[in-house]
Amino acid sequence: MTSQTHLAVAVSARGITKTFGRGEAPVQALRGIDLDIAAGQVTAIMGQSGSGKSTLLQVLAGLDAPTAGRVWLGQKELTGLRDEELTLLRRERLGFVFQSFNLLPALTAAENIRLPFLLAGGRVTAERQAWIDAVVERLGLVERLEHRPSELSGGQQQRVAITRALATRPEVIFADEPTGALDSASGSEVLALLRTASVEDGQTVVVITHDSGTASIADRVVRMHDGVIVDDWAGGTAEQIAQRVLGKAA
Amino acid sequence: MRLWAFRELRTSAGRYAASVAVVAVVAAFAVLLLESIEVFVGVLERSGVDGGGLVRIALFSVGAVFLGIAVLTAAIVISGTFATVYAGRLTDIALLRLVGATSRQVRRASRLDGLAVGLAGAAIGITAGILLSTAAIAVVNTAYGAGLGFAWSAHIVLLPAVVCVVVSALSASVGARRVAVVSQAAAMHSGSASGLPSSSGVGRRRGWGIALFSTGLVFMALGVLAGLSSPAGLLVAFPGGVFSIVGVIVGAPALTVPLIEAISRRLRGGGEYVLAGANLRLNSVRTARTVVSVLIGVTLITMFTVAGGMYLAQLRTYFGDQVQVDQVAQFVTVMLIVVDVLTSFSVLVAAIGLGSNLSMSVLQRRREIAVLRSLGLTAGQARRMILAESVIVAVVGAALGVILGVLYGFVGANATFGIQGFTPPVLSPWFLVATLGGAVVFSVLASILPGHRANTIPPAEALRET
Repeated sequence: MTSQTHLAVAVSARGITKTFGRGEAPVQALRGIDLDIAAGQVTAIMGQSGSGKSTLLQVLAGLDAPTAGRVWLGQKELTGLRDEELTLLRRERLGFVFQSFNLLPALTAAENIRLPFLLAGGRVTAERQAWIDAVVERLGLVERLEHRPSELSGGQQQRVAITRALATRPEVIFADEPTGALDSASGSEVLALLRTASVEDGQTVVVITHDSGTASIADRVVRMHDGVIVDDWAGGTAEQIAQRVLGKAA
Repeated sequence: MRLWAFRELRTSAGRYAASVAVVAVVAAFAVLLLESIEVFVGVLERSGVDGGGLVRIALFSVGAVFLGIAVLTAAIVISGTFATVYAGRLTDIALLRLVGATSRQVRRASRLDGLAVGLAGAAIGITAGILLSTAAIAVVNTAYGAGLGFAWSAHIVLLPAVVCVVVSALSASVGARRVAVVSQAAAMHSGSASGLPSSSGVGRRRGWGIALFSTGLVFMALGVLAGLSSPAGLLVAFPGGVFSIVGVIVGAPALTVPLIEAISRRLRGGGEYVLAGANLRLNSVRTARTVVSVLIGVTLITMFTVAGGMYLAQLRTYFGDQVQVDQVAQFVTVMLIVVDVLTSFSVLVAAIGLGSNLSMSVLQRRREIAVLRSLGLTAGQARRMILAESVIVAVVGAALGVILGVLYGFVGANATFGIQGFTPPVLSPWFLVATLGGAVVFSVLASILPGHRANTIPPAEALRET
């Protein structure tokens, strides 16, 4: 972590534990996580299912409260916030990309992209609309704006979801297995888009994945196992990551 | 399959609660109706006031029609609740189809579900009906010293029981029909009910709806004509009523979508209202089903009010020159009790339908709601979204229901008492205010629990793999 200290911190977590269930057999999903996510970088959190990576994402993104420990988004502490404040904070300062796209079936692609603004009840400013138009253009969605999600391919749906996440220029985008439901061509495309967002726009991205290919776009890879961080390095190619993961696991 | 059906019923009894409640209400109503006809006929025979037998014929045709209305309502609401339950279990059913269950087996299983719902509902309803009848007789006795007794007769219990069980089994099967044909491939896709072949059939449904409704209008016109010479005109008009209401139900998506569209486009204020409108439009079949459940209730209330007012006026003229006033008063009181019971029955049916459909739509949209919450829909916005859906649906249902109810009440009254002279429909503005106001109040109440339920969905559920 020392190598990142010169970068601004987008999200930090201290002493995070998360326990599910009570009594006889509580499950400790997270057991003492300390983590700083550097702004403007892509950070991959890797681990097998059950490693606690999804729980960590939920806690970092203000979707669930930790059992103990504290989480900050920039200077703002998330832990202890009321549901309403957390909801508004997610709306205004965070973006999400999900494995199963999670576009609203009732809305067109364009409406899905504007959803965060719709929820805020405000009009989209000209400046913001120009930014959205540029992203739509870059992601090749111009022809698809009036389509419903059911009329789009998986890759197209995920690109709409990424546009939705980028539209508000959030401080952090959390992507949960963003290529998990895509074929490899669409998957690589989506990864390239996330990488570009980071490199060209300085977008902070946190990717949760079990896949070394997905982790290869990251500036930094954090590997979890049994609720603790077991490895933390600067990543590399998919092969290098896979080898390091295998080596550690053996 | 049989085991599956019954095990399902045990583990998910809550899903069928609405269906059981409707069956029980219908059974109770049938018992009450049959018993009051029984008591009435006894009174008429003892007093000998009904020289020409006109009231007796009227009583039987009205009784038969009321029973028919109750059965039809039950069939509509039960098939609706079953359709909703089965739509919610699309993934389960697709999975069963995947491992080799035939469409026929799925439907047979649903008939068994319906049978069990019918038995449970009938048992509860018949008991309640007997208790209510006893209480009503006691009320009339104390009020008028009439000295009426409970007229026991086997058909009072048997008829409602048979009707309820048969109707539930059949309506369950009809309600499950669309889901039973679901493709095995649907099992591979994730859970939302949007996989149903929903809006594709809207055009065809509109055609059928118009055809059925027009046929109904012809029969009703004939009924009114026949009514000029005999009270049995009602028996001609009734099938017309059945055709037309089935036409409205079949064509409901085509009818309600433009109305919902017009209303929801006018909503201003917040994203949650835009979302509510979009939800209602997307699931046009589910929306139409909910509108129909409110429409049925309001149609019944309006019809009874319009026809009841016209009947009472006619009865007064008919009896006025023949007998003493207290006997007329007794008659009128019992009629009013029957109308009150019918009204409460209608309100119950509408409220059950609205509440269960809303709850189901929240259940089916769990993931969507979790996604919205994770993207920044606040708890208050979520509640208002459900509230807006509820109110829009209720207002559309109530408006359409009032129009249909006036038509049916007018046709019914003239087909029965046209012989006394043609009567125009009467509807007080207060009734309109009360009905629309009631619809809004009920829809607000009906949205509380589903709205609360929507907010218990953890936003993190949006991340779960399907």
